[in-house]
Amino acid sequence: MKRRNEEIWCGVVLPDDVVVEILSRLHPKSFFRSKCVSKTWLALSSHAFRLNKHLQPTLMGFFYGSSDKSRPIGFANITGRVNAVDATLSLSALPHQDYIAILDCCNGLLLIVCWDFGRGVGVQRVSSSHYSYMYVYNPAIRKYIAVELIPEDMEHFATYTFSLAFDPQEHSRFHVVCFAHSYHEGEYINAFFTFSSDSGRWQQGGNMGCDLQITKSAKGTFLDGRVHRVTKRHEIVSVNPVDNSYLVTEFDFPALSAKGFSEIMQSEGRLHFMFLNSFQNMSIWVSENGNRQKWIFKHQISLHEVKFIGGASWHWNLKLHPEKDALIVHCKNGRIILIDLKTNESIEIFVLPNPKTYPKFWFYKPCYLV
Amino acid sequence: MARSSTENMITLMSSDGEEFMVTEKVARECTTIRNMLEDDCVITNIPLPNVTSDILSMVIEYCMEHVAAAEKAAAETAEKGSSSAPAAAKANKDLEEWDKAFMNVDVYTLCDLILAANYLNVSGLLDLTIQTAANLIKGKSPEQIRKTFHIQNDLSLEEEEKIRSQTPWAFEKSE
Repeated sequence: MKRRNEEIWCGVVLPDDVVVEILSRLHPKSFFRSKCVSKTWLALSSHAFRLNKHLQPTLMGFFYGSSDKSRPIGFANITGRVNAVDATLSLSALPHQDYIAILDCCNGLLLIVCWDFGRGVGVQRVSSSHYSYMYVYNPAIRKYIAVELIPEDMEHFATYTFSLAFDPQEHSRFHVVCFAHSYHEGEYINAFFTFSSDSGRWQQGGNMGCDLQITKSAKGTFLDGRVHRVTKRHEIVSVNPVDNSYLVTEFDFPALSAKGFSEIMQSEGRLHFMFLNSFQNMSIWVSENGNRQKWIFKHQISLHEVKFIGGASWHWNLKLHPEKDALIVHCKNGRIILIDLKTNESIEIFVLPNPKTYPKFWFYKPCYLV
Repeated sequence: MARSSTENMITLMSSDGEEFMVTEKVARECTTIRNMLEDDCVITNIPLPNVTSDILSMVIEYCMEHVAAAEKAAAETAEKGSSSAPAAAKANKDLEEWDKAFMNVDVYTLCDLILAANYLNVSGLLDLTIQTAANLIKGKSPEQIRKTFHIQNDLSLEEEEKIRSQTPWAFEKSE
């Protein structure tokens, strides 16, 4: 290793661990600027990066999308951490932005779709494959990568639902999984396609059974190399976008025979399956040690009994906190409530600026890997 | 409760030969000295060849203030059985204000203090000085940072350009 010259600060030589400590306290913008100061600072920056709490991939808040066309995207910082993220998705970096929508968010990356009305190209709604432009965007480092549109020979489906798969451990690549659904000559058709950033191409994943229709409004999650989404019949479909294989997990919980809404998400690094019936009773199961076949009943909670919530219609905005045993609920009046599942106590964590809009939201933890 | 007035005194000697008499309690704020005292309890005279008298007197001032604040808080707790939360919060705030005023120094002194706090291992002072240095970096361009701390730029133009191009957003003017 090349030895660096000892660096002089104001006539004295500060030990490396002291310099690392200083760099590890800088906020994101200052941190990345400081790499440009000298060879010593540059050399110590990767160590400081790992110690800098402002740069860690831990929950910072959530993005929300709304039907308010003048302000389609918002960001709620619920941790009070310094926010250097391009939170408004002003997307000055992006070429086409007459209208944008978030399709998914995974480990710091956003999958977004943009329409360019001015050019009048392929202006159609989200339910179609004809997105004008699709990008994967990292709002922390303001970098985007264009995702190819689905090739024409895959375009004959009625609806498309997208999931993003990104593992920060392999931060140079990502995948997009597209679940497609159609009704043709008396039969339902469900298929999926995967996009790989390595190849820059879409690939046919395969036909899934005619019953395996993905619930569009449930968002699913990406964990342990697979995109997990729930189906209309409350099963879980887990797609591995690397080898295009998929697995189906069925449940025999009696609770699922009722009418209700199901969702699969992750909390504290484990898959959680939740079911909310029409009487506002919610049940949560957790998969044991990553084993998709073994599920343990974890919680039951009646949302009627939780303070703040009065007859809200929030069923697709129920989320588990990704880092603690807590549930996040979006109430009708625009308030976002956190319910501690151990004590059932609830606190307000955010108020949406425009409660009339009906936003979807996505948890966000920044990814500063360059 | 009467306090013993026969507290051990320790003499600290700076690099330029000046002697400072401090109570053992104040000296123990420096982990480096505490370790020496624990290894050899009869030691009363400690030479500190890395610290000048100006800086050592500041370190001692810091340690005395923090020891006094801790003693005051302990005495109040003993008197009332428990410390009242508002009083403790006020005491903390006062000490924070004192720290802030104490950090009103030029960068040369700041760097010397960092070095001394690191050498003597005074964790509170090290934390305070490092945070002060970090605050000085905030919002500045690399050139302004170098100027502030009198650091030589040993990066080539190409290297600098490469770093900038990795995160151009960090170098935009607006803050």
